[in-house]
Amino acid sequence: MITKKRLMAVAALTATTAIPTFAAADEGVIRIGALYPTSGPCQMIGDFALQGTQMLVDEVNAAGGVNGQMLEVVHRDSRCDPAEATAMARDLIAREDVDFLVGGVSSSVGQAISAVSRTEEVIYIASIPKTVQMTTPENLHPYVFRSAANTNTEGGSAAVLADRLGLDRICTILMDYSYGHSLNEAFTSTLAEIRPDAEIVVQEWPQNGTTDYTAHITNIMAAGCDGVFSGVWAGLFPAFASQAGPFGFFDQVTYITAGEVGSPELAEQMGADMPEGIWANSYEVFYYPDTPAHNDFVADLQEELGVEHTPSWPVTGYVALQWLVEAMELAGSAETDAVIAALEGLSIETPIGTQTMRASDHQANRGQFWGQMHMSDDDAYPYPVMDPVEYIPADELMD
Amino acid sequence: MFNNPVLTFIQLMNGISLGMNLFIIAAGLTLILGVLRVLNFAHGAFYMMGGYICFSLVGLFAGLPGGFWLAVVGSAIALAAFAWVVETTMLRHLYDRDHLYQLLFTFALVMIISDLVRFNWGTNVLSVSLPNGFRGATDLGISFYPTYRLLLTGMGIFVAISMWYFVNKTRAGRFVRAARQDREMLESLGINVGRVYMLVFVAGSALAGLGGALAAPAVSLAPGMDAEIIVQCFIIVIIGGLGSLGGAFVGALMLGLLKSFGVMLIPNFEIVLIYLMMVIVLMFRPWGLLGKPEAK
Repeated sequence: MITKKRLMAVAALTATTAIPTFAAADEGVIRIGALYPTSGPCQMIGDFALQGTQMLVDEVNAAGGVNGQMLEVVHRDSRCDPAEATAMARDLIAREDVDFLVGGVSSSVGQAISAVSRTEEVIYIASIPKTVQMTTPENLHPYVFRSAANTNTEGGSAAVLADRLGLDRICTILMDYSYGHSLNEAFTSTLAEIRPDAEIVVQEWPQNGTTDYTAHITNIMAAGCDGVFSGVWAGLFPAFASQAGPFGFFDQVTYITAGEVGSPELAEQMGADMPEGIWANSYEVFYYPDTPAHNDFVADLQEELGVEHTPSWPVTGYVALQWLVEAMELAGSAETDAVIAALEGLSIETPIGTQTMRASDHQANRGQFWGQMHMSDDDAYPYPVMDPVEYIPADELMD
Repeated sequence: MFNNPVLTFIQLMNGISLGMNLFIIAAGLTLILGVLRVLNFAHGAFYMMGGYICFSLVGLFAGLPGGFWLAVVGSAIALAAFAWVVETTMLRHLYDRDHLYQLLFTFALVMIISDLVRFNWGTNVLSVSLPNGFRGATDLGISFYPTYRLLLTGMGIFVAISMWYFVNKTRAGRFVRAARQDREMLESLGINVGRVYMLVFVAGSALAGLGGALAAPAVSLAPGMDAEIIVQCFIIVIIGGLGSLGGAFVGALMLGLLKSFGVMLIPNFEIVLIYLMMVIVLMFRPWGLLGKPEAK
């Protein structure tokens, strides 16, 4: 039975949702919709990327804005969840009237935001999602651009390393979901090209969500390979290392791992538990490259975060927005079509070097920092660092 | 396949040590289920709390010799205390209610603990270092094997033997067995059954805390780690027979071995194997391997 009370409640509820909460879209302000997870399992990454975004906004606004217009960031929590990201992206466009979208962490979230950007015809810069799926011909559309390195670059650069290290019998251990399979494709195809004699001996596919890798570790150690390519990414790596280490795993094989295991965040967390001599990658490391642009960026970030040794994620948010700012300046406007035209083929000076946005598939030639993990000899920073460290460019690898 | 004896031996050890770690947790679950007749959904969350508390205590006891072991004991005690609060203030009022209320209550505990963990420790993945002296491997003659996993195996067997001894050979254990069979009779004999229930719940939960603390150096700590473990524990308890300690031991061993040899022999079906085993056991012995059929 519908009581009067319940009717009242329904009425009240409808009234609240009906009240428009449009933010007054201020003419003369460019509104950037940022979708980063600030709760849930990807929170740390999202917080840092958002701080990087805000840092660029502050810099640009302090210098008088873009074409005389100020930037404003409107953030929504994407919670590392594609459904939530879709809803929040629509919300940003419909209610907050944003001009651009940036962000995303996981590949599935990147694909979800890309779908919204396509239907709503709003430019989206994917700052962290890596899956090649986003820029393959069937999914590519005029409004999506990626500043992040894709899985082809990541897997391919690992193959370049394997070749250089002279590995001939290689085992792989990759997580059994899209990220792992994309890495595998990139790694094996690049390896077949540059080192045709190398053999993939055994492939292990731990289930996503597993906590015990011991059986996989044992299989690899019995296979007699000289190198291992791994996609056990930073969040999973401490458990893997503590299980594999006592077997003498890292002494037996040359270990090359994707998934940002070389990031300063993880190195500081693991400390002496980080296996010596493994090869790992990172989006950025504060200690390399020693260029004025990068040193300035690190100094600003130190001030912004109030820490001496800066994390690697802020650069992703910073550079994603940098693409938009430079494209708007080149186009002389914030109109979508003009910015798309400016972005295609654009080259910019990022804190980590020059990058170019390919016109053909809207993929920036973002490479990756790779290096061998060794305990730092700097007493002020008693953690593992990449040494030697290098930037492996993406140009030859991202297809 | 089995033509590499060293590989087979190591996978055998992997299976046993995984099984023994699972047994410590599942033993607590089956003990509570057998005596209190409460299916504690929050048992996995207790395990998670044990791991996280161990993480914090390891930091606290960092300077002390044997700090890790103090942290392990501390985690078990902390969970016992937590369980005591839960039992005396809330759970004991639900024993006479429908099972649905108990399920709802323990499920609510899962949610609450999960949020407490997020609030207190954040959502980042945390890790605990292997304790000193257990970072390397031990020579077993056939091959080297990680010392810490040998220790986990030993702990599992130790817990199994001491629980068997307690339940079957001690006076207090007799009450536990009696409470499992006939609560009214025990009460009429003047035994404080409420107290037996409370102690069983506290002891079972302490085992979850112990299991979590011991697992902490071997797995990473992350919110959601309770979900995987509770499913595995349920499978173990169902295969072994509800409330049967021996059954939990056999079930845990089977699950561990199936996982490690599954990955070695038929990696693509490793996940299915476990459920397949459960289906087969339930087809032929619906009351579990070492359980007893319900009296008609």
